[in-house]
Amino acid sequence: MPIEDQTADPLGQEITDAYMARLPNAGGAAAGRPDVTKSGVGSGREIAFGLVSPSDEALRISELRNARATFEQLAVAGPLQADAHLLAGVIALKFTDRAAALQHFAAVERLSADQALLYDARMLSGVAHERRQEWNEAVASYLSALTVARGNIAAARLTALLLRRGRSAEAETFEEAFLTTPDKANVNEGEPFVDAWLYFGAFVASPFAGSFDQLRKAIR
Amino acid sequence: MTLPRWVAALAACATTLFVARSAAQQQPVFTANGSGVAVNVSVRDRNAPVPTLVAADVVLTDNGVTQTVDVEKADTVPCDLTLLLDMSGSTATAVAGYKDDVRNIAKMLRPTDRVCLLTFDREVYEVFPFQSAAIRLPLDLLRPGGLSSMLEGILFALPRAPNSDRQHLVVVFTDGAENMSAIDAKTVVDAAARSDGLLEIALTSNASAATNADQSGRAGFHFVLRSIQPDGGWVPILRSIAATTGGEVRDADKSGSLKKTFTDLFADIRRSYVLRFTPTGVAAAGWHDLVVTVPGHPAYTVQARKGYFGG
Repeated sequence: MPIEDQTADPLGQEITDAYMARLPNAGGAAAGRPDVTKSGVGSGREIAFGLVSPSDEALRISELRNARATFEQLAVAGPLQADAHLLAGVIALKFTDRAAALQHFAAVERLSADQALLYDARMLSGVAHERRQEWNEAVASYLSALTVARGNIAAARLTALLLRRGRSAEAETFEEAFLTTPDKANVNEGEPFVDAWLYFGAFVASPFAGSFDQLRKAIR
Repeated sequence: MTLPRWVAALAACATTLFVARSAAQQQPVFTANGSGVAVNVSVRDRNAPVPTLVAADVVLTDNGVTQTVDVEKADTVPCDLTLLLDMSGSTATAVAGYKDDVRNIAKMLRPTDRVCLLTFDREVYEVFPFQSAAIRLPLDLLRPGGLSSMLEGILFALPRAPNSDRQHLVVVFTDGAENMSAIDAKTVVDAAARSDGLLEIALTSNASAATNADQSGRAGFHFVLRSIQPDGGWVPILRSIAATTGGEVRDADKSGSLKKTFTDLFADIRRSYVLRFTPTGVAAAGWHDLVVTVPGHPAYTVQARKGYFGG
């Protein structure tokens, strides 16, 4: 494995068909384990961030499928629609279902004005567009995310995308605007706004903490 | 919550980006001023720079097609130097030395050269934009502390609009510790390969931080981000990122001081060459693989960027 591939992508790796085929328990995972009924935010987030051992991977993927189904149910109606759409979209993206992911993220736009949710939905839309090789749409999504909040992931992915597409003049223009606008200018109740997705992964002082609690109750 | 300054900056940026896109796509690297593609090349005979290289000595292929090149000594080409300083907590004992080194480096620049300074800890900051190195550099307020977004810092130091009349040199001072970046190393390697800059990395003391996956103070979300550490730490990754631009990682400890490191570095750069050519026989669009050789001297070591993006 090339050395550069050994570092973790903060968004987690995709679960592709080829990846599934290499798992020791691929058949069970691919079919969805009927004996596995547990689902929820916890298992989904652990898999999304790659915090599982390889031996547990097939089982966890089955749980992730269940989590996606649960979030899609919660996204139909109720006060958690927007949160559920975001999480369903994240899992769809992980399973390389990028069109479905984009639909979920668009639903977040319609349903919520929450800054953290909107930033994540727009940033993740950029990721989905990148994976569909829709470069201009990806650039637009990242810029749109950055009009909501000064998030590191959107800024870094936008800079990298522009450089990788040979648009270095635009990358320089963006980078100068980003770096000369310090995070002190971007505060939320007195605290610098740190990338919502990073906090989503941290589960520490997360803007999603309340949503997680409500989701857990709804799932039970 | 309102973000007036940031939204205004981004709105202006977005407008510029979208207006500029079509023009930029047509001429991202070459023919920006009619002089073609410029490629920095370092040629060494063992450890010594080769002082007299002429066009007849060099073979450059663009996507496998041999090109006609002009060879210019790099010491005649003005330099835009981006300095990137690691201000994360693990470098606390090195920062005073960093400031001295930055001032010393500024003294090595010529009147036609320019310098800008970026720093990183958890975030990346621009301390000052490109300016003449002759004016007093505002370094006094720099304070180390916090986590390290080294990969993000390198990524943000790379972008420069194509300009074949100026060299872009990026010099990174770091102890090689990384624990907070919101982007993976492969993406940075790919971005570096497609940037126009020459990236040199000065690895300072406390390099154990770069090879030790379990640094003290690691908690919270960077556990999530960096729960998977690369084999051998971050130094091989830094070497990979630098090499793809034609640069390298320089061990400041072995050379005794960063001043000597940079004296050597600038001497090397000024004894290197800028090859210029107008691509012929290849499609303009897409990625162009570049290979530079000196066929008459197969023992020479040739360092150059791996390619460029055409419009």
